[in-house]
Amino acid sequence: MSKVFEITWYGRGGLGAKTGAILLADAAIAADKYVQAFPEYGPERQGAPLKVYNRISDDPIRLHTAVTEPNFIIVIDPSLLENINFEDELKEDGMILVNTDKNVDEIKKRMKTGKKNFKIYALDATAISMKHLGKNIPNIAILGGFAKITGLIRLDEIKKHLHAKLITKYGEDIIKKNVLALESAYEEVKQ
Amino acid sequence: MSSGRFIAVDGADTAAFAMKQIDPDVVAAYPITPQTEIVMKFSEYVANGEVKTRYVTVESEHSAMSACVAAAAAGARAMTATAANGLALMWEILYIAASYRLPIIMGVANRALSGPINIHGDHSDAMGARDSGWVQLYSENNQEVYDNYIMALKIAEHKDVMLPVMVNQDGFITSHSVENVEPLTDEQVRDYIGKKPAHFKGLLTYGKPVTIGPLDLQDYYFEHKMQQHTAMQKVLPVIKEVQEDYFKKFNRKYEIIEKYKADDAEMVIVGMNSVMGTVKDLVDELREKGVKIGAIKPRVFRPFPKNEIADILKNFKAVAILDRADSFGSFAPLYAETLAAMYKFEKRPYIRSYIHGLGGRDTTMELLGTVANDLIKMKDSGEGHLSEAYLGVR
Amino acid sequence: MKEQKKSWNELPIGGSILEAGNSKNYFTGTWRTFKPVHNAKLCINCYFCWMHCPDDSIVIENGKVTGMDLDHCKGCGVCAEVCPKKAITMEKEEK
Ligand code: SF4
Ligand code: SF4
Repeated sequence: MSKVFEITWYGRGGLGAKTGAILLADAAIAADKYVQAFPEYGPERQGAPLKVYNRISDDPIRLHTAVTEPNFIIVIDPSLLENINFEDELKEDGMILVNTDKNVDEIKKRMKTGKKNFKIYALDATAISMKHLGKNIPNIAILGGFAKITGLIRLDEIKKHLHAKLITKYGEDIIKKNVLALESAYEEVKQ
Repeated sequence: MSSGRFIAVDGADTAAFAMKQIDPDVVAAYPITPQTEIVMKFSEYVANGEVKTRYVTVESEHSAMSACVAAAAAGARAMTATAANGLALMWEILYIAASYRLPIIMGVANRALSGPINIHGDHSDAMGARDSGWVQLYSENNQEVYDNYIMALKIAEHKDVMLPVMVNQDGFITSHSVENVEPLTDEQVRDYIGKKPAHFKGLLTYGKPVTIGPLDLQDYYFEHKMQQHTAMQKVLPVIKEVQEDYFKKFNRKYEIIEKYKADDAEMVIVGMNSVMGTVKDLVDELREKGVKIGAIKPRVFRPFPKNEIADILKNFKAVAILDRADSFGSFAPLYAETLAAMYKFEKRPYIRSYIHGLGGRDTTMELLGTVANDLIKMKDSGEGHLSEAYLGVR
Repeated sequence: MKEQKKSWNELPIGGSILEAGNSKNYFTGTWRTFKPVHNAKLCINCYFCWMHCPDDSIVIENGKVTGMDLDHCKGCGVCAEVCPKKAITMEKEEK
């Protein structure tokens, strides 16, 4: 069986976790990977906590089950930090990327972790998004952070994908702004 | 760097994309979760002028199927999509579509029937419609959804068939899961499906009017049912032929019953749609530990490939049948029909029924692992033979 | 001899009827107890009977009602009922 990299996104309904997971899947496919992106479907309510999953692999993915012990957790909305049981929901040596304006030491105190060993990363994706895109769409920045931490997708592959995806609808200017957000996230993400 | 072979797309959008490439004359549909995205996406194609389809918005699924019947009877390529209660509301018209021999294509994002109300994936909708006279294809993943759609048209419109075809996929589990899909080009699809065949004429032949759907009583109805039966008998060879042609043209291999690591297996797990992907991963995991297990995936449930499945299963020691639907008060559908098909042999494998994943309950690796453990026990001792289990129910 | 009906593989599929207007070929003139009898002397050719006949059995030639198509008339009596001139009477079929 091939090695499948699993990711769980934590967001709130309507706040872009699903678009984030799809964007990541798109970028990974552009890098010739096999992917899955699918939400956990509870009753979907605006603002309610929501999990979305990704799988990424070099070989075709056949599993059709929910992700229960991912390699990587992305927390889009830091107000959810206290609600996640990382000990149960993440693999040993798993990675956590949190969208926050705090540093890792500060957020660590708020997180329920147990005996397992995790690597925790902080990235102010919201601020980056506000600065470069003028609105709170943290997904692009998250993608930059993810690329840096995991090395699963290269920055130039994401850039190329963004270009192909956005060129007809939005044009060079918007692409440039997205690339800036992507690059600054790649630089700024901290353990 | 990217080869550009794949698009990232969920099962519903895959269906809509295939429909776009087919560019049917008429689509009449009514939204219902989790199918809504199919017709929503398709209506975008219509609005953008990317298809020439006449899109009929109707007030119910009953009307959607009625409109498709009328369109197909008039000689149009007609398509629709639905799920669960929507399919149930189409019920009487499903039979009419099949008995008038109209090659309508319908996508079903399989979903539990109410009640209590549930919007998630199981096969209670399609299994309820199994005797309606429709051909039923099943799809494990989005790629299979795509290829089934394209092949469905060829099967439905074949001169020996002329029957409606239902393309099933699991609601949410694949319909809302983005996966890699490698589509054909628009030209490839256009060339492959070609123009409507000459025998698919319909009402609108000027100067030669016909009546479709007249009263058909004791003196003829039985003969017309015999015709339907005979057409269904011809479907499997046609599907085989279509699949072989599809392989030759596009190098994508499909079989009526897919066998996975079954050649030297002692035990197999049999099931349909998305769960079989997970089963294949389980098989690989157990094979590494030396367990001789395989997977069997029927891709066609109507007509039921009874001889094919019996011939495949007869040599195993133990067989587990997964049904994502119940038949209250009887045997689960796939199990019942497999049992009946096996009756022709004197020596039969140990066999056990598992009802799983009702209402979208996740059929995990762990749960499937317990099925494998049961098989290992059953293959030698016969323990559990002919019993019925509800996988993971509390 | 008993009528030999076609078998399933000789019939058009789906119960379709491939010829238009073939009800003409079905003789239903034996279903009557009463038959309509037309009196041309009283008739004013208002065509009421023609409009109302459910079986299209009022025969009109050169603009004039000349009688009934008794191969298809079912003897319902509607024509006699609607005739304003009582130019149609229903008479027993049996002599
Ligand atoms: S309704 Fe009476 S009067 Fe009028 S056309 Fe008929 S028979 Fe003649
Ligand atoms: S009796 Fe009835 S069927 Fe016969 S001609 Fe009169 S209206 Fe027509």
